[in-house]
Amino acid sequence: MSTVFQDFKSINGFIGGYVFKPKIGILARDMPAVYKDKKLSDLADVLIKTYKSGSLHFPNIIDVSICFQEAVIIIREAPNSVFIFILADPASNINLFNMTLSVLMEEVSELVEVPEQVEKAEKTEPDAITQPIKAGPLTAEELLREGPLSATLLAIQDALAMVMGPIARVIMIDALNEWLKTGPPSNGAIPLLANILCKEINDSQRAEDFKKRISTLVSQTNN
Amino acid sequence: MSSIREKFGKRLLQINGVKRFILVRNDGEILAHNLAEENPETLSSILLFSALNCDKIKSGFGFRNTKYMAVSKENNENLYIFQMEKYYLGVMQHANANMMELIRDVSSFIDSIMMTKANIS
Repeated sequence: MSTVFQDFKSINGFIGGYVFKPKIGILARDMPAVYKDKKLSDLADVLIKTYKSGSLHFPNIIDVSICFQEAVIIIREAPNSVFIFILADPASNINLFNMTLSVLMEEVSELVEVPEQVEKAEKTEPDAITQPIKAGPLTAEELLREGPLSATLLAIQDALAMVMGPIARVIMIDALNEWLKTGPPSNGAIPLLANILCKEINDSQRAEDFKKRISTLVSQTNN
Repeated sequence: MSSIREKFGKRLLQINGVKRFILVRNDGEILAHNLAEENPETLSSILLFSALNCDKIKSGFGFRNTKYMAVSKENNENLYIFQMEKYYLGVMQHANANMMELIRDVSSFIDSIMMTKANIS
């Protein structure tokens, strides 16, 4: 297993990252589970095109970063045409991420020399983002916005934001869509939603933190 | 009397760290620029292509708003691309400019223009 993301994980605001080589695929990943491999590969193509449009015109390019409301994506090319993408909280110290990237470039490029170590997370799972939402009385967005569960779900989303940062809403919507497929939404099914979210968090330490933060909410819904 | 485009450029260049700029409409028309070494047509294509890709990336990751895109260069004369509704603004910074301050100031400048536009209409 690659340790390429270990250094990033210790930086405040790290959301995730992955290493990609065109025609080969994902070489390493440490992304929230909400982003499946197929989705990340498709996005990698667009990210690389964006980087290339800059590098063709500016040969002295270091990296390209795109700042969205929820996250900053840093795109950098390592030797061997390997690309690394880092997602970070926009409020975090982006310079620190850039510096860490510079230090790790060699390690990133070496990933392509050991293709047997390719990490394929959740290889057989379908792409949840592109899965159609099961028809039902309420969509994930509506559940958050209105109805008797809205307050509880928003509180859970707030707890998730404390653990995952601005990307929490994306994870929450995806988890709610999964949750809706299991049956009608109810207070009694909140523990099941919590389990789905822990799976989506895809990081044992963060999942534990999240569980602690929502423990009161979950116990209230059980009563 | 200077045109709105000239005023725009003049005000933009008053921002600390702004060296060069180009303003492009989403149909590719270059509305204003003060580029010297760079080819405006090439740069406008980069702006439009990047903006298109940013939209794909935004929706792919499930994000809402794009704030800006930055191309960091070894000589530190970084390029920033901002979207203003149907216009794209490319800003190149002086090598010694403070990146965060420049982004903040250009974003405020854009916000003030958009606010004025909203008040007029």
